[in-house]
Amino acid sequence: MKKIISILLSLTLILGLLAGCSTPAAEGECDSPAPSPSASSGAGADTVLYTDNCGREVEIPTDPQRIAALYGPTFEASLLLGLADRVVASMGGSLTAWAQVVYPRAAEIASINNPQTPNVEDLTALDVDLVMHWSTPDALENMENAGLTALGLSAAEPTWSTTDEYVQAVKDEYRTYATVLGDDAMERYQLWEAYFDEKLDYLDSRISTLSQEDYPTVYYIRSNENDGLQAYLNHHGAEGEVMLAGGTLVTGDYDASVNSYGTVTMEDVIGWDPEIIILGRCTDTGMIYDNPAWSSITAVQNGDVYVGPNGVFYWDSSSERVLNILWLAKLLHPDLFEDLDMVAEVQEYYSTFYGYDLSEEHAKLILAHQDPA
Amino acid sequence: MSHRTKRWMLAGFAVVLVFVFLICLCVGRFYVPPLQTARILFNCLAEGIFHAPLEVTWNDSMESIILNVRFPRLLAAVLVGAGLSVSGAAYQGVFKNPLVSPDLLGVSAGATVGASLAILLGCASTLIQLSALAGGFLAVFITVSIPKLFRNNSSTMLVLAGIIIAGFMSSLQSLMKYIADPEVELSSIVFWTMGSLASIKMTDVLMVAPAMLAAFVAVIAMRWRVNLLSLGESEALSLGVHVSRVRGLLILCSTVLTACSVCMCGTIGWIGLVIPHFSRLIIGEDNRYMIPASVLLGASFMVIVDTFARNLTGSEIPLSIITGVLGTPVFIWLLKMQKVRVQ
Repeated sequence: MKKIISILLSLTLILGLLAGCSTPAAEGECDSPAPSPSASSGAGADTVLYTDNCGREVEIPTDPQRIAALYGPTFEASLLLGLADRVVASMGGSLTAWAQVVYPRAAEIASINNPQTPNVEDLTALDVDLVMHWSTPDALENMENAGLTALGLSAAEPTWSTTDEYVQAVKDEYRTYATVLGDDAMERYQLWEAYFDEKLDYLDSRISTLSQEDYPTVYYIRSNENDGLQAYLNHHGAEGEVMLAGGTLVTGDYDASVNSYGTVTMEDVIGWDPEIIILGRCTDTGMIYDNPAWSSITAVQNGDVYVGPNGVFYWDSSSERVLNILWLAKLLHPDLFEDLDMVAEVQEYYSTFYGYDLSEEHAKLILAHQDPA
Repeated sequence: MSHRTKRWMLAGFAVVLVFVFLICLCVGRFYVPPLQTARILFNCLAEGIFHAPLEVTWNDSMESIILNVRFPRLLAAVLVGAGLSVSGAAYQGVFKNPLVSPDLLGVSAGATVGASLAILLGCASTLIQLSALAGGFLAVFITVSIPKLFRNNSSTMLVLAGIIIAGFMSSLQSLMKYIADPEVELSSIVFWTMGSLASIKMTDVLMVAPAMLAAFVAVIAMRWRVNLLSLGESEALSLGVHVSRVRGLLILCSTVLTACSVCMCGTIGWIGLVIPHFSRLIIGEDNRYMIPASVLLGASFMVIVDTFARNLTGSEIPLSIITGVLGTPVFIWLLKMQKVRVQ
């Protein structure tokens, strides 16, 4: 008996070591997504049967009280939908400096290390009744085995190709969060959807006067990895945002194989010769201006390299993307949107949806991708 | 094979390297006609040396591609390929073991830890490189200190110390991957550990080139002593070689070469193990020829591998993947040829 236990123990140790080495990124996303999850009433009165993006049927509480918002955009979504008070755990990257300004309690929310393969005991100890997670089947199964209710909410594959489909995909995403969060989240969602539609109409009324040839070409850098060569490719939200703002993403028809962002080659960037370069999740244009390899590109020669704004969560993939689209539109077509006051737009958004009165200075810092002073 | 033939072979390898370099300079996803490539290169010479620029028949994009993108990158590939191969060759001689690769004393593992730490701290790319360099040196310093601690000067003790430190470093590496933010840092660390020259700049090359060139010269100058060392420690001693001093110098040079390579482009497997074998199979065991052959063949091999990496698909393919996929069949084929020759 002792022998068996010792063998089991050593196996566990080895497996533990292996798990430590394995990277969450290598873990496959599920390949049979159910893009528009449908809720149907389940067995109990206070639970509901829900099909997540992995196609798993999960019985979730209708009114979750202790939520782990691990998947990137979900913490900001809970703030938008008015239920951030119920979030007890999140990933560190979601509890940003601006989130803490807008919602000071964010500083007290438990930050989960390695959120893609979270420690189930930590989550159990926090008495979590709903985990909003990536659509990674292994991690979801792990949590399920530990008795946690976990949902895969990241979209496994992009499901849109036109701007209309993109807008629909974004709405579906936030409607999903509202459905899952319960309570009056759906009412808040509808408020936001109306705002989104209003802004889209406003943009369309002006951009539709342009022909496709007037759309400037845009190269949208994701992060400062690989010195500006990590870019948003086709089907990433950033492509939809650029399209709606009246621009053409030069990487739009790039072979994106798996991810909607990836590393492109310097030669392709020089070949595309974009008119505008935007840096998404980075703060400094020096990376582009100081590197001679970029010097021949039109955007660099004309000084059209811009740092994108950054607020409660990344503007290119949070609900704040509506503001991102407005900001892009003004940047790409300054003449058309001369009267668009981005500071006022940001202030309005923050007071309407986060219930926070943002000062003018703070709005300017957000637009300049700076941390709160 | 006479010494004369071997010398001619070395000259041949050098010609091959120049050809490979020039051909790969013309290959890329952005098409620059070979004639324009030649004109752009000649223009550099003509303008720089004779102050008589050629008539411009190319555009800014072409010039930028050739001079700012491909040229620094190919230069880096030459340095990295040659550096890793010659470190491998030197180590295989010093430790009298054909299975040894440049990361034997923990330099790659240490450099990776250094780089990962810098990535986690959100440093800029230059700081990541410096941190990698420091990590590599620190790891080797600890490794060579361990035998001194036990007053045991044998190669076996040194190899053992290397294994211990490399193991420790890879644990630290796993720890850093574990705590890395999956959205931003993790992919960066993983990509870094597989090696890439995608974002190399001329300044990066110039930063490490002097140290690497000095190390190349030193190893090549000592290649005859590597022959003596590979006879065994006592034989080398009896032939009047200051074993620990020569060994120490070779380890220092190899560490400089490997750490500089790793800090430019991340860790790249295989090449430091395969190329010395490759050279040995072609030109023979004699380190006087084998070491220069490793430099030239390693450089050519790396230039070819990197050209595949930047052209096969739209996204960059990590170098380690290609060195492995390309290196294995070539190695097996060479072994087969060798066997045929022996029979």
